[in-house]
Amino acid sequence: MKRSYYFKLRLRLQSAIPGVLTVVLLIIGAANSQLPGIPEFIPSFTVMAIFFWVIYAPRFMPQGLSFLLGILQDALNGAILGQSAVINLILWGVIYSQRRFLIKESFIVLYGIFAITSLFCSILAWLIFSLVSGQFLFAPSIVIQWLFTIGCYPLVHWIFSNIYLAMVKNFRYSGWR
Amino acid sequence: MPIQHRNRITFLQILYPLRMLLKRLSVFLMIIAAVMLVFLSKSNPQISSFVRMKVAEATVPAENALSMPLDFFSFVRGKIAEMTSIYKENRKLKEENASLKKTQELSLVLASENQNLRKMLNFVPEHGVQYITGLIAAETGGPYIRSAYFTAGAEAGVKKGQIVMNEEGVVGRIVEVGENTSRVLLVTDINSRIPVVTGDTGELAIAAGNNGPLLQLIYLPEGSKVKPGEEVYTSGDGQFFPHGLLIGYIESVGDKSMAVRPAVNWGRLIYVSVVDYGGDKKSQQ
Repeated sequence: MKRSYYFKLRLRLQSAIPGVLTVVLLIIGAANSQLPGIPEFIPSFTVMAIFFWVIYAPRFMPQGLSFLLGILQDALNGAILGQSAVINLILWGVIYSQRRFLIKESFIVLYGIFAITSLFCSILAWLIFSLVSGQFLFAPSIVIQWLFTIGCYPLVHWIFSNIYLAMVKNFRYSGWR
Repeated sequence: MPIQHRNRITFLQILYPLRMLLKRLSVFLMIIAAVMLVFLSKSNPQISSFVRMKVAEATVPAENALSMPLDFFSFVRGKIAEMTSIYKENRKLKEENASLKKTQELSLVLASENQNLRKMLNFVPEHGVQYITGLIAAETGGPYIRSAYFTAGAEAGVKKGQIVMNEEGVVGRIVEVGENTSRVLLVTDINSRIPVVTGDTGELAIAAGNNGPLLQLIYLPEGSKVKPGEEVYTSGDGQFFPHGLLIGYIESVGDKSMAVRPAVNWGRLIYVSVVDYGGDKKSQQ
């Protein structure tokens, strides 16, 4: 079966949607909201995106993309580059190794696992920050950020799963493996 | 869908086992690369600074556009709040006007006296103060860093180390400069240390950020009689901050630490000015 160049291009562009969407979420999160205390509570969208896409469709969220998203996140946050990339890649590896089991789970179980996973990510981020900056930071905002991340997850999961279902339909229809 | 076998043997097919190995190891290799990147950007801050400013220059226009509707909402909110308190405001303003007129007369007298005294002392005037005003486009997310991106950079004359203020008080200090954007380290950041002096008691201390909403006063002399509500100004020690800029007010006085509430309302941080006090000249001398 021979496919035209534009057909392949369309599919390639479509498989970039998850990554682009995560970048857009990151930029929206960084915009000046002019609400007191909001910037510190912006949920970590990359953790949500990697968690979802690595379970359901790791081809749309490859390791390289997780790495680049981490760099972008650090650059937007004004942090030392690579911090978030380390966290994203560890998360990627852990979720990828367990995705056979995770993919069968219902949303409620998955939500619970996400809560625990994102807590570990927050702890890891805190550890790396403390090691890199040489000072132990305890700010309640870390816990609040974690709670916000959990709180936002169902909505993000819903958006991502709708996109995913539409993509699956489209890809099956076009005979793309 | 049946698996399609190709008859041609390509170079890539011969290397297939190696590719599979690399694929399996790729996460670990990338984690190692990321850790190395952390060390690299920690030891060479210029690299991370360069990447950050490039990313900022690419994203700041989008962030600016995103915060426009929010600007409008806060404008409308502000207008509604003004409308509701217009009578009260008017009375307050009249009272204030009366007292200001007295102060103005006094300040005119003092200004001429000051000028005469300066002439008598042969005083060398200070470097002129220059302002560059712009918008705060983005505040950094996450609980670890308190900084913001400012929509003017080296092209407009912004330099590293300059002070950022708004009408309420000191916002922070420029730490990175790109062509059209620059990054402001807010006074509440954990890395921010500002030499300060208290308004009434004149005690010298350091106001340190801790990423929370309040600053902590450290290195305050023992037995100091600092009171809550007292103003805290920059003391002018060190090369960055000149003397007498308002930082905030003493919020609470404890046994071990004192908290300072910043004068700046972080929720309404839109327009800010970069102030050039000629700090470069001072540090060169």
